[in-house]
Amino acid sequence: MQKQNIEKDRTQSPQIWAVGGGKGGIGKSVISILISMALAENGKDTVVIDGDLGGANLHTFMGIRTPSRTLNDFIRRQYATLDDVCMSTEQKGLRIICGASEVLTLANLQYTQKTKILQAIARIEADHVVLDLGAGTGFNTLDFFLSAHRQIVVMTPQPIAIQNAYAFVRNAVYRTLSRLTSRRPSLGDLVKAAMDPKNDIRVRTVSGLLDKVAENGDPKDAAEMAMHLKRIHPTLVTNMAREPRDKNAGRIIQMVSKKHLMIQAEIGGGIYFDPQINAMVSAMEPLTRVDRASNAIQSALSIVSHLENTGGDPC
Amino acid sequence: MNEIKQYANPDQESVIGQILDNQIDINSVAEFEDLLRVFPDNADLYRKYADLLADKKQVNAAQRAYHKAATLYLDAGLVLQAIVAKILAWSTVKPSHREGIEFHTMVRRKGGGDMPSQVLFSQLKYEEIVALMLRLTRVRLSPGDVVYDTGQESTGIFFIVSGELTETLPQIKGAEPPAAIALAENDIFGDIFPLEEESHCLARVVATTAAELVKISKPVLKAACYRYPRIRELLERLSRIRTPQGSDRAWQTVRRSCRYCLPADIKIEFSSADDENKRAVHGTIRDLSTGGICVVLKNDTTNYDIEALLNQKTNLTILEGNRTVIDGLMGAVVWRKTAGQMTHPTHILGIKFDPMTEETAIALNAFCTISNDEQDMIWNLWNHLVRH
Repeated sequence: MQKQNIEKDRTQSPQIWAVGGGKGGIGKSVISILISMALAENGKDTVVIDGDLGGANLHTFMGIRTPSRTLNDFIRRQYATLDDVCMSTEQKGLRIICGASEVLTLANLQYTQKTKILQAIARIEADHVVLDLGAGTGFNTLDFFLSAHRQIVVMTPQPIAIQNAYAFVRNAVYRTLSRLTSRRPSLGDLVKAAMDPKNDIRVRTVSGLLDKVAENGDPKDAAEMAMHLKRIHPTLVTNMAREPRDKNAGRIIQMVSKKHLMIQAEIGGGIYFDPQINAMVSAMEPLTRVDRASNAIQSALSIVSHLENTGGDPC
Repeated sequence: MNEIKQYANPDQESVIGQILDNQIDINSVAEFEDLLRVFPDNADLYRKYADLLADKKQVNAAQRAYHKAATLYLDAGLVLQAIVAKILAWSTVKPSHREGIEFHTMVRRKGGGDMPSQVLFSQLKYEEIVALMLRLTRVRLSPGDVVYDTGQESTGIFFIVSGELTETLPQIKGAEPPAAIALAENDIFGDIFPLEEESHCLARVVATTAAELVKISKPVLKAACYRYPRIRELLERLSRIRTPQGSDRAWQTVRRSCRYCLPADIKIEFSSADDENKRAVHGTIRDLSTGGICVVLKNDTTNYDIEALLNQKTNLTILEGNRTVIDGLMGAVVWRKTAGQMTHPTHILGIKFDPMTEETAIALNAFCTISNDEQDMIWNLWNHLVRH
């Protein structure tokens, strides 16, 4: 096992980056790896985790055919820490935790298992941990996303991918509000009703929901909900852009989220379609060997640099 | 089962949408009732069902169905559609004064929204709404029908109940050709002002889909406005003066694009007493509600005897690619239909869900949670910012 700079005196938990986006096949895994590589290139000790519960394949992008240990081994208590299941990669400073292919075990993660993983991630001996989340908007995926310091939402410039990415953000918002109100039945019912876009209570936006909450009870509840929403700060990354206009995809979600969800998303930039990446994925060649001058890796470096400069509050 | 009447392409569009557009023809009352068991809260389906009953001269049943449709429309805030359903219900049996008052109270309570018709009708007083309701005439259009052309004398004001139309303003010399403006349900059009004088149409309006409008002729509207000045006041507030740029309409418009539903794959396992005979088929869904679904079966099922699937219990798994998005859904086949060509039929199943756990219901809601407004904003912005 490779543990670069393990001797470092770490007093802080790693910065956690989550990469999600709703739709499958839009390049979340590739972007997770590119971001991890960019962090490692900057001299940061980085671990990339396959958080695609039930559909793990991140290792194949690293040229690993059959992982010798996986996240599932940690869940099954065969290893004590997540550092123990880390595998080295060809990239200096970058390790990987492979996902499990035993679909049922992880896809139906229990609450305690999820908590255990989240706590273990926070104890990983690294500067940064990048979580590659699976497609879809399941509770587990959303909870991992919401627990991260840097929340990256990936989309491609196609309408369906944009719509999926927006649905992902929307569900993250309502997941936050549901969890916040889970012990308050009347508020919880209101949130649950508002989630339905055709709800009878005529709430069409999150600000409408907060108005309703304020009307129905203590305005402090609405203020608290608004405060929690401020902690959702997704960074929108457009992948596989082919023309400059394509990079506007993120702006769409930024504007719709602001109006309907009351959250301020950030534009993280775009990554141009890179045929080299496609060829490497098809050949199962490790992406760590990608040409450092390629558009893709340069874009990832720029996204990382931008995000590192803008800070990120732990959730 | 109805005979196959026309070609349909259910992979491309919502099955419900195709039924409403008459692309999939249902002319059996029983078949419709089965479908309504799957989608008990779909106001448009109820309205369509009521129309079918009316065509079949089943007056009482039609009246009940129109009332139900009106209630569902009001629940959704669709005041104009509710008014039209009520007009049809009351066309055979006149309402009592109390029924009229109750309906108006509901319109005021549940109406609203941003769309021009909603704004107008939900703000009218009882006498005002009655004055208009009594004078509305229905206009049904097929795709390509021209409502009016530039230069024609204006005959009245139109409200779009369903369907889509385009309004094209005349080209100004030396300027770019004007873009066609999409008009959708709840939009208002018609160059009626000034009411007291002869006016002419300043644009061409053509139906792009099957559409239903209601119209008030200009002389009738003029009389109503004379008696109830607030009607004129509200109409004037919703209209505006055309600008020289030519891109503006005479009426405010909020909604320009139509709802887009995400398709999803689904695996359907048919249970039987003998588990060894369990078999699975795959299909695509666009019409998804917490009550049930319409599934278009994949091509490899063309030789299936779908009659045999009726009433069968099913286990359902909604997929994104190979990934399970929602499982644990169970239901029964309550409706079936074959569309497309006789040689290459496409089978459609309506499945009503069994009661589900709260967690599954939440997951199902979360799967298609984007509202029309959000969808429209995404599409409009995409057209504006990204589309090449």
